[in-house]
Amino acid sequence: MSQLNIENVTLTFGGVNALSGVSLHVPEHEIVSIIGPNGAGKTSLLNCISGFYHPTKGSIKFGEHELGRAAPNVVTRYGIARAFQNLELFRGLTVVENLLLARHTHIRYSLLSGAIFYGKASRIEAENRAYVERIIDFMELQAYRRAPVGTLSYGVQKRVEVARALTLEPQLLLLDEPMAGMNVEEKEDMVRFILDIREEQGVTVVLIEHDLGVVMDISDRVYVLDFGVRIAGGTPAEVSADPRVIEAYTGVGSGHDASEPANPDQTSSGQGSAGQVTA
Amino acid sequence: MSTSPNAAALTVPGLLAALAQTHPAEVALRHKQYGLWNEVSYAEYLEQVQVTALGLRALGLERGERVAIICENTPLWLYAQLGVQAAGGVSVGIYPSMTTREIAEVLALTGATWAVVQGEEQVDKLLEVQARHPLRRVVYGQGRGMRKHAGNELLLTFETLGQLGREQHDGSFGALLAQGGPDDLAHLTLSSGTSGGSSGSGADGNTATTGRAVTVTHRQLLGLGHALLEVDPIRPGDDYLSFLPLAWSGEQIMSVSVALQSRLTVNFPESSETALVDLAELGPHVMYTPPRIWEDLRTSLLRRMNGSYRLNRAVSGALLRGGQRAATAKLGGQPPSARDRLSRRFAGMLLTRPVLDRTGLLRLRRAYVTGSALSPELTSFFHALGVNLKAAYGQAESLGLSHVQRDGEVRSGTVGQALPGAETRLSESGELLLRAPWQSSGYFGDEAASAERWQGGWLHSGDVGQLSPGQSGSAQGNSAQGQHLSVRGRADELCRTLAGQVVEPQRSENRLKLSPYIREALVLAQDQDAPTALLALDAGAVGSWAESKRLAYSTFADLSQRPEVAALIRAEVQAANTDLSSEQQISRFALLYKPLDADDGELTRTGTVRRSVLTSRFAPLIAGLKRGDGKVALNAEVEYGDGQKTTQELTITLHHLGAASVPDHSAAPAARSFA
Repeated sequence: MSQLNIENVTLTFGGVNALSGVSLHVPEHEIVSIIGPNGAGKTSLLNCISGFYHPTKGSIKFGEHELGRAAPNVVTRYGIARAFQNLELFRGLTVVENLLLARHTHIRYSLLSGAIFYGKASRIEAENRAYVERIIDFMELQAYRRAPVGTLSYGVQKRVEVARALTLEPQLLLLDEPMAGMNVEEKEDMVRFILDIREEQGVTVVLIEHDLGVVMDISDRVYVLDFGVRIAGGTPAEVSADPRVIEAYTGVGSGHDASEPANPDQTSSGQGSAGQVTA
Repeated sequence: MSTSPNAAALTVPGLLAALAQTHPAEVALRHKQYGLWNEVSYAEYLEQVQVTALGLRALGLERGERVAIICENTPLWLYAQLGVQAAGGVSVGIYPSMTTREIAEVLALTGATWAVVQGEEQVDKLLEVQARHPLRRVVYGQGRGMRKHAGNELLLTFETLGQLGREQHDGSFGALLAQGGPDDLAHLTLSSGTSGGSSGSGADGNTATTGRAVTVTHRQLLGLGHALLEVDPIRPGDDYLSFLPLAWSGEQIMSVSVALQSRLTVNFPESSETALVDLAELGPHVMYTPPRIWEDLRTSLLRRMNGSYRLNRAVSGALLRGGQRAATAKLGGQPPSARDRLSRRFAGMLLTRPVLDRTGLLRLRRAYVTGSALSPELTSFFHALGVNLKAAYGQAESLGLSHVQRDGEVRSGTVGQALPGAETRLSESGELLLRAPWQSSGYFGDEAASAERWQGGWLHSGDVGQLSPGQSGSAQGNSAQGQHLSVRGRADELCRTLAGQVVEPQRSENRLKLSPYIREALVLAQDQDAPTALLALDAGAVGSWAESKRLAYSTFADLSQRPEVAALIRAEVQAANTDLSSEQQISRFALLYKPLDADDGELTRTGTVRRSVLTSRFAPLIAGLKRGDGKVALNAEVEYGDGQKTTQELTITLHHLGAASVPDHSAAPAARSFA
């Protein structure tokens, strides 16, 4: 059985079906990508997993835990962390402070103990700081440790966002467009980080990304959504040969080789495709 | 003086073994990791060297075999280097920033078949090289990203190597050390590759750029440190920050030779990007650097001062000017006026001490500057701040050092006096000849080239020098010892104009580079009516200037051809000209459409301009400047922000200083077609 199992999930807003009967499975230690045109329901699905939305129908199981009705903080405790498409960082706080704040789920001492800051409280704080330092090292953020997040470049902020999610010690990491608006060099770095997160930290990764070149390169499994429906799923090779995928991306139902027309985003990726992608 | 008396009779790892006996718990190294400075004692240092040596022997390393070391500035480099040397091998220092092709060249040149490297990046390069140049074993320090190579027999971790060594731990290390002698080959260091020579350069610059491998024995390496310590003693426990590549000969002097002979603590920064922050945190007592660092530091200090509010600017400016006048007088050998001395005293209290504290230079007793010439302006600026900047001179062939300025006798424009034991002579043509006990005895496996450089025991430097008498009284003994050396430039770089005047391009280049907006300069004058210059903008400084002027631009190429930028640089060049003698003044200049890059072969790995590559790559521009054209059209490779490269037809405007008063409205909308 896979680590994350999504069965027949339907999400309805008023009369609109954001997701209808979507099923997908994420095995442990794999990189699974969810792709699809704008408005296909990718981010809605991620919101269902992380507890921001609750599916109207169907079930989402993470190991033993049913996530369908769980609140975001409960989902986090189960071991799922998320890096947001629109950075969710405190711009006025430094990188270290942002990361330490993300450790709050691992703070287990009383208010009184915290006020005296002796014994357990100071020990736990030291442990938290040590963990944060390991993440800083892992994400190569040493040079920005003391810099307020708001002063950093966009590419570095994205890295801090991923670091923040990693600081929660997740088993499953949800990445919502970690590479949007990045230049080639920053993208290459981020790809390396994602691969290392899986390899070194043993974390499962669910990735939403528009750069199909990247998706096809690093994913073990790709699922394609279109208008809230799962239209394809499988290995990158299977998916890119699927005529339904080509149709969803190009609007043309012809059956020729998919790899080329399935890359509508690649040419414009350098100049900030950030604005055009809102799933 | 803390040098052990028999240091010269020992090997480098032998010296460490002795220190581990006498001062086992003293701090030898510090490495910042996870935000904390971790200390390594001499006993722990030796333990790492020992297991490395024994591990390499267990794997079959023979005496005299070469082992490439490609690491960042971390203790790993020292463990590997001393471990290799203890095992009787020869370490080969390679810059981690080198490309796969360059590394392949060095391996072929030195015949190295073993390697100790930092991690994935270097392993990937070596595996690519492996196809052409078989390797026996590659040891890596960091396991990150290495899972893809799991099961590759060639690779093993530094820990595994240490484990192997620990299993052999049976007292055989002492015997292994005893097999080595001070005259064994210990290390190979790369010559700079700037000197042109037979390595040459094709029209595309796509040729050998790595230089030659200079042989270094234990006695030579330790001898140089010993001589330097005689001039400038170090107190045990003084701090040194190692952030320049250990493949560079200068870094070897301090981190290996001087450190082991004076118990100088070698500190390693967290990463190359954090070096300046770590410097401020550490506050080292001694530094050994190329001029670049000081040029950058001056630029950033001035930029921050200029960005301050008006009163602050006025006060700091006045204090600094007084201090600089005092320093200039002192550097010229004259006593400064009472008023300037007073101003300097004030500046110390109000301005310079806090500034130095913030930058980490307050404890600094001396900083050696070598690699290329140090301009008088830079020297007086830092002496005014109270930083004892001392020019030094050396070549990779003399292990990086033969002359250094003495404390209290720092004279602008010179590179100081010969170290004790070194001799200096000028040939009839003015070429500088050197002889020193620590000087290398030749290139590795290249007898022809060695015979050419070393004639009759004298190292022919290829530099044109000048000797001037030292201060009477202070320099004892033979008069040649006390003489101040000044280096006028590479013999093959001195130019003669059509009018027959000799121009020293380096002097003008150094003055031009003092401008915060000019990153690199190449001055040309051979067979020209007057000197001309190719200038590369400082992308950061000009970029933020453009931002403040609300000047929009797309690429570096576009920025470099803006008339507003041309006007800015024109003013900078005019300011430089006022400081230069008439034959050195720049008459025309062009702004390069790309930043110079070591990966394109335009700079050496330590950041020095490669003239030969530049003159061939920008030949059309140079010809245009020589003729005095107004514009030059050429095909150039332009790189976009996202890494894409295309070839573009560019029109580069050439700027004439003679017609300074004519505003430059004629500037073509060159490189405008980018949007």
